[in-house]
Amino acid sequence: MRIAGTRFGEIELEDSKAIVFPRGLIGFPEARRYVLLQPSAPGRVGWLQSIDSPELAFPVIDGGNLGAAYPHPAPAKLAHEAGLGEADLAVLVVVAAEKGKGLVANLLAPLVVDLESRSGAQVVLDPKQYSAAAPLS
Amino acid sequence: MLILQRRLGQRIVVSGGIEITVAAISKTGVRLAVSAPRGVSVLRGEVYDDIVKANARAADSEGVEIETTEAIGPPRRPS
Repeated sequence: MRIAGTRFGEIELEDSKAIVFPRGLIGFPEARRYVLLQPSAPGRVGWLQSIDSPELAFPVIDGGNLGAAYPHPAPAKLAHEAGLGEADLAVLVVVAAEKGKGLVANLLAPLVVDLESRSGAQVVLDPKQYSAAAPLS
Repeated sequence: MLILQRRLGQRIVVSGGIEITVAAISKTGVRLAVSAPRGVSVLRGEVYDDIVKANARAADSEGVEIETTEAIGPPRRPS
């Protein structure tokens, strides 16, 4: 499989690396297949690159680096509620960067991915507890 | 758009196993009880809008380091 991404140029990948979000991301329901591009070093920003829309990519960080209390509820419960497998769960947090400002993280709506079944969903946590634009230090 | 008149305790049924019941009515608002199958998310409109905005901002991000190349594959199985 070959993706002509607009951010990273051409990427050649094995088909088995695709991750399917059956409902897409919130506000992006049409783009369902993605690949997860690893950050250059642990704790840095990785990318969720759309396979179907080459111009679409979301910067993400590993939710596992945000402390043991995140996310609440726990990933297994979130995956169950989203109808996902629970075998090998990863939590990704979408971040945004604007010129001159730091990174803000969408803690309210993380991506829960089961790396075993290669499927994921963007889930929504309690808006009283988490912000969709939390500044990262 | 479909507009319906409902009284306290009455329901609206949406295909896909979604039911919305008028749970309480007061001078200032209406309480709705929504039941939906697993995997169907039910959100307040303003929360949904916030998340759409956050996703769109993320996709438009500039200046985030981009030296990422290696895709995360399926988990390695014990041999």
